Amino acid sequence: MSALRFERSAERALAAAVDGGARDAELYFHHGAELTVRVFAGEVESLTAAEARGAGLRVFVDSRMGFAYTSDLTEDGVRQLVAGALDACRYTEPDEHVGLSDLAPDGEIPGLAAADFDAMPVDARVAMALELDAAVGRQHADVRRAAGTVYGDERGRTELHTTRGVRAGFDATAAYAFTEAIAARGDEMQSGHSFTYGRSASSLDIGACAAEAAERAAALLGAERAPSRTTTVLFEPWAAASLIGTLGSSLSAEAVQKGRSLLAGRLGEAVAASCVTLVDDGRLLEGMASGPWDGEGVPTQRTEVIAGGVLRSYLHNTYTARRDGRAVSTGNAARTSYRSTPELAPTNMFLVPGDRSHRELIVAMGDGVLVSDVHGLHTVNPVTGEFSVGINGHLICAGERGTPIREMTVAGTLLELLARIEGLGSDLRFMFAAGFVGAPSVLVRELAVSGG
Amino acid sequence: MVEPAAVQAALRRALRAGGDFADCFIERRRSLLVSMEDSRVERVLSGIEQGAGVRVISGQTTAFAYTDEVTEGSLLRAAENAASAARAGASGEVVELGEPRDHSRQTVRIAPDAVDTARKVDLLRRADQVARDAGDAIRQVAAGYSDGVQSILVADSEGRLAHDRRTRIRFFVQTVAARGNEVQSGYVAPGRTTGFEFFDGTVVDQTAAAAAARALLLLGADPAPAGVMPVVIGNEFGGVLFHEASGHGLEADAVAKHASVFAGRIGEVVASPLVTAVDDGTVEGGWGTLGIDDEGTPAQRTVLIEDGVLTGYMFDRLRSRQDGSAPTGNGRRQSYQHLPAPRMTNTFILAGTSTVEELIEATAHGLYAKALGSGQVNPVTGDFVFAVTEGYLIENGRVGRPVRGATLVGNGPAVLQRIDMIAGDLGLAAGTCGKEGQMVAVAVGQPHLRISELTVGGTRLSGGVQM
Repeated sequence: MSALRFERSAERALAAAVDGGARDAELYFHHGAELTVRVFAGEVESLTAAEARGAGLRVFVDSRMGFAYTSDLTEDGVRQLVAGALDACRYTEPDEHVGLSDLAPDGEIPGLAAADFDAMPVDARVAMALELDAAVGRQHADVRRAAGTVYGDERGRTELHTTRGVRAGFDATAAYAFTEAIAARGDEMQSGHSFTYGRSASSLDIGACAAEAAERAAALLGAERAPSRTTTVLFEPWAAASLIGTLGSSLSAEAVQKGRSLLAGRLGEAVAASCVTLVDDGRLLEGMASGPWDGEGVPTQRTEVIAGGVLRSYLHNTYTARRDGRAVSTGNAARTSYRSTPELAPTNMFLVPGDRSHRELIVAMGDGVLVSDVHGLHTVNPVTGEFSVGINGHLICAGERGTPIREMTVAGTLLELLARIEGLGSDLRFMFAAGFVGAPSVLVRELAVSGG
Repeated sequence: MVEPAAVQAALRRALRAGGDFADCFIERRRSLLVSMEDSRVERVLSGIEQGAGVRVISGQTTAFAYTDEVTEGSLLRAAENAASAARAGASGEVVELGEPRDHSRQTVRIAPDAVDTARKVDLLRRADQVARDAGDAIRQVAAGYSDGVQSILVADSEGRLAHDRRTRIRFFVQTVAARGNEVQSGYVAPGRTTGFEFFDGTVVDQTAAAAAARALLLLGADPAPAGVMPVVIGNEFGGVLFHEASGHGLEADAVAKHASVFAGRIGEVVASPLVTAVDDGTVEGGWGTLGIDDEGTPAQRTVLIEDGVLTGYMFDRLRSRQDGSAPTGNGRRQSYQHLPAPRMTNTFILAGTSTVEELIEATAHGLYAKALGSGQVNPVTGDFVFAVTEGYLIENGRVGRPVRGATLVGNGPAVLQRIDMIAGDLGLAAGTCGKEGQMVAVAVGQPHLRISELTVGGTRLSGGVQM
């Protein structure tokens, strides 16, 4: 563990909180340094290089929790921070379950911060973004340009200091590149995106990213609205991951305890087809949501949420585990920034892949619809699981990819979807959603697809 | 904050290696969120964010740096970082800063930070009570109050020095209703740029009652029909469809990148002749109302479409320079950590001459999408998806049974052409708009209007529901 960077501010804030009547207090710091390059039409559109940091303070007075945050770490700023958090305790309700975790941050994940993160000069990273943008236009006769290309990287430093003696910190690095290709034929335009990610610029695959974006855009040219039908649907990995990601809120023990989860009361029951195993793993080295401990210092872990179709566990933080009485935190206290209290969210959540190739699944389905993209995921009702999302993709006829489709929807409920899964591909891929979500190709029978 | 002389020095430093333009955006934001669930006060979150962003524009390229310390030294460091990231530029001149101008447009009678948090908690308790009293089937109520005061100072190399102060208040109620195995939810969230006087009337009771009524209505609603049919869309938040499916294509960055179907079409017919649409950052109390935008340009009213003809785009300073036209007060950013881009403020379709009853009566079989949720649109193709959060069948010219789970799927430009009736009941609603990872406060709006043909995605397939 590298040297602590915020020790002085932390000592000052924790001491002031205790002086002000707090039984316990906890200071969370984040310091991020970002580089972002946006490219359009072969030119650097913008280049951002900056650092920012801030702190969030939780205080516990009797059984009440107060919270405040600030980006002002001067003596005066810290004084206001402490006053704000203590003042909040006057209004929040007493709750016997609130408090610091009894588990201490422990261990590291080697490789979370790439040793070569700073090795590539900024000019070379800018050149990568320009190359990705240019490469899109070289892939396909109908794809001449990208709608936009971005390269970004960040080095983040997270620290946690508490009145119980916790002094912990870790570094993590990430780099990514994204492009959206535009395919055009006559008046018709279609778009397709791809991205590549890793712990440093040297781990990105620019060539594959350009090729995939162009292929996805070009494949949709000639798209039409097809007639409505109830049919077998094969979701490509990102489309499947998008839908699986919407389960995250229902797996939250908080949603369960407050009666707004469609999985409430279902522990130990079959909630999916027997081929379905869903895992949340906060320690996955290749997972972009990984960390040695979560937003309140609890060590992260691998949790089998659904195993063999049976619901095995919800995702817990310290509060929900105490309120439950029998559960322990699964290390899923998430902070989106120093401005947020530890809430519940998946880390790296993925559907464990099967052993069939994408091609085998298409042949197996015979007739149906191949979905490569879903839109409007925020329309999924997290309480009922009802969804009706827009899709792009292709008709499948006699085991072959046919006409592309547009302005169509696929509808059902998440539980129906899980129960009707018939096949899983071996092609697991991750994407950024609420957390970092992964899935292979997923074959589902009997879904309502509507169009013209 | 810092002295004008320090800002001037930072601008000089930013252009030391050349560049066409530099500006400095200094911000301080104080926020409070109080939330309740399970009839208990759960969160009282207060915070302060401050910082400054410095950018240098050279030709097509923008270099940008920001800092979370607002001191002379840190401003100079950010300016230095921006200057060293900037590629070779031209002149690099800095005009002497003028007198600072205060552009704040709002009259805030009761500053929200002067009101004790206990009173804000009382509003939540009231909302919780009203929503639970609406029916035994209401199982859960979450309510929230938020206020924020953002003070900004903008200075640029052309001598502009302006500040603005934006006070925003929002209130939300979310309900969950259950009967048997069925669970439904309702969400209502009004917001205004105003002071605590927002609560002088009955806004708390109305919001809570509306959120409860929606969840109760959806219990026992039929599954939505699927297919192509005429759709009547409600006023206020119904305007989200125009915002997403057309508004973004009228932002000058999309136009400049030819990522918009509206590019190069000024003067052409792009919508039904019934449609006149504007972006207006000056609407009193509008959620997207500003004194100046985040580049110091005074807010204004821009006519985007007049009687179906495309008349204008929304510009920030960068795109207006490139286009050779005047900025329209649409240069907005989430915070000092973000670059400004052309963004909507309050964007809405103006009132027509029909009545809501006439729209319904003219529809033999169709869908009444009284309230929409948020939507998603592909900016390249204009294809969109929206959730209907309160919908009814229209049968033989009458509003029939409520339906649940409907989505509207279509293409923005095509839908603009298919608006065949517009009512007179224009209303605005608050929303948060995301673009390229930046969130800004906007209002959307429209009167009730009818679209002659639109795809409804639902679970009940029936080939019979057609035009």
